[in-house]
Amino acid sequence: MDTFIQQIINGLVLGSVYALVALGYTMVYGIINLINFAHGEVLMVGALTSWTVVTELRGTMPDWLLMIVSLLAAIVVCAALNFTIEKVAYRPLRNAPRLAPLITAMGMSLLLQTLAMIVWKPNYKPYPILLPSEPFNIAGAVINTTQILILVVTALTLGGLMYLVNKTKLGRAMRATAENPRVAGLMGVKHHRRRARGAGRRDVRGQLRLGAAHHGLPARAQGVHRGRVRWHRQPARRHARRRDAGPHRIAGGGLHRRAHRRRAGQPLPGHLRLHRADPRAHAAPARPARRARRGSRLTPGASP
Amino acid sequence: MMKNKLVVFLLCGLALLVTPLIAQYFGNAWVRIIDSALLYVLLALGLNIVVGYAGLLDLGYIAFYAVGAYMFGLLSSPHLTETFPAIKAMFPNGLHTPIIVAIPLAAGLAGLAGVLLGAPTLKLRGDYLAIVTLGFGEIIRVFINNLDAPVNITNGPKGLSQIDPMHLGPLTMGRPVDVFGFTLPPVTLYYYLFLLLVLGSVVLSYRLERSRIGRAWMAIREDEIAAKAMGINTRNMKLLAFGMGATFGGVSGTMFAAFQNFVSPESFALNESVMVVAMVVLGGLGHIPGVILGALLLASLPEVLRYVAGDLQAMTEGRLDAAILRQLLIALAMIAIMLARPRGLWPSPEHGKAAPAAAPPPAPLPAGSIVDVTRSAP
Repeated sequence: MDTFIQQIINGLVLGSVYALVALGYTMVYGIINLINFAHGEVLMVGALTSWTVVTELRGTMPDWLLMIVSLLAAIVVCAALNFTIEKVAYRPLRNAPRLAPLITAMGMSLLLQTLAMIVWKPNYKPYPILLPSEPFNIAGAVINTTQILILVVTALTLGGLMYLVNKTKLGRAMRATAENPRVAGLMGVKHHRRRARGAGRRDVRGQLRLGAAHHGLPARAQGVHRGRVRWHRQPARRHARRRDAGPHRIAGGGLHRRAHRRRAGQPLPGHLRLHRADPRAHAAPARPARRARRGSRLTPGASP
Repeated sequence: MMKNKLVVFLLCGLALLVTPLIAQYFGNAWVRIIDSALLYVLLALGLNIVVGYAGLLDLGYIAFYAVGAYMFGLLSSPHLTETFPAIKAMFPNGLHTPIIVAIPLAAGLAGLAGVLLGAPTLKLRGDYLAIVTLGFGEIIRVFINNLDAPVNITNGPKGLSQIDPMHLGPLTMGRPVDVFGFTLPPVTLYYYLFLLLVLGSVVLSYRLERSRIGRAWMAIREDEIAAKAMGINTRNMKLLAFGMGATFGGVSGTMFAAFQNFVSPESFALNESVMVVAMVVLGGLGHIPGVILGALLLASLPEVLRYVAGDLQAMTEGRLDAAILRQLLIALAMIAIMLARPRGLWPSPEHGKAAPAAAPPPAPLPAGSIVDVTRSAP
């Protein structure tokens, strides 16, 4: 029975580690439909970053704080790295044949491996034990702090991610992009940004910690990075709707508030006067006679 | 014009024939590089049928290579006769399969394996198919790795050694041959064999591409449902594509085993499959010259860089390892080529567009004719 519980605990811990990797992976795959061969390598960079931070800063602060600091460092580095990868290798190929990004992903994977060998040298790194290693007893089975940390972090991440995807505006945008990027774009989701964020986030998820070498399990931790949603500014739907009813309605709508105002000859409010170089933003041009401006729908009057 | 073409053709043929003789002058290692590049060309041409024509992403292609290699390895190394007394009794002199049996057998066996893989995956598309084929590739490798107990069939991770070179009766490729005062070492003989196979595959691929079957594959690639609606038996066509691609893989596997005299499971790891996919996509999906170019490039680049990396290493005052530099350059090349040419280095002419310059301007349409609006520019 003891062995059984012990194995369950071991399985859960190991499974959590994989779950964290898979979480990051599914975010990318779900949104950009790309088998990201470079995922494991970003994980590796996370682990090595954390190792560097820990070995450099050991002794300057308590170990638990060091753990958190290295965790944050790994999150920042990996997110930045994956943003860069997405921007350099995947985004330019968004409209290319489906298999093209697969090849750049493979290239990226190879590149990251090589760069890591250059930066960190191709040998084993011992990772110091940062958390207390005395095991707790649970019904005859033992579990130590690192294992508990892994379980807790995975649970938190899972919960956080579920909340993010199902409940927030950003999550809705991500799901919309996954379903149909073009329509999501029409609805005002900047899907490039969303995708980059998906890509960045998944590696935040994949921080591998090399700790806990004493029991052979890699401890892993990561955090949820909350992003702000930035929508396209919808081109003044309020104004557009009012104008749709009016005589000079614009086929297709879609002008910026500034343009609507300019057409109507109204002075622009200060916060819309963005481009000082644009003289019309300050002085409305002399208006043609209203009659001439109106024209008919088919023969538009003088353009403003 | 016709005559010019013939001259170019003959010159190309002559160049191909002379290449190993020149390379041989600089050392047999160079001929070896060319040989293995030709093997990859063969593999890439096979995968091109599956991925390029039929549009089925196969990430376990190397499994068929392994099937071919192990088939030949078992049938022409002393392993089987040493392990099983019954076989020893049947073939007291040992199994020595001649080339004329080995090639069709490898083709058939690998083709069968291809159909076996294809059958359960008929309903899968895109990335899901890729995952299943990836799994299949790993299954074959793990299987070979572990089939040394309880009955030792594949000799496990130790691999099969002492595989015969390709031979037919008294003619063997294992010894140098003297022709008109030239000594042709075995590597050069293999070059000619591989060249023959590659040329055969090119002709086969070319004819397939322009056949009813090839058109059916391309229809499936573009839109499977539409292809079905047009009366194409998509099930059989997909199975045929898998089988046909696997056949090429099996034959090149046989050649690999005979060429190396040794096979072990680690030659058939996942990254080999991935590399072959990279060759096909990098060169130009579904376009034979492109695929050949991609395969030659990716197969010979690592080897050629071996010679360059030493100098580069000296430039960095020995701080960087030559092997690491080599890998770095390959990775950069893959990314740069794909970014610069997303459709591949030498892509097939775009679907639905006339060949450049050759086509005369379209005749004005008679009044009242139906215009195909679906063909207009996007």
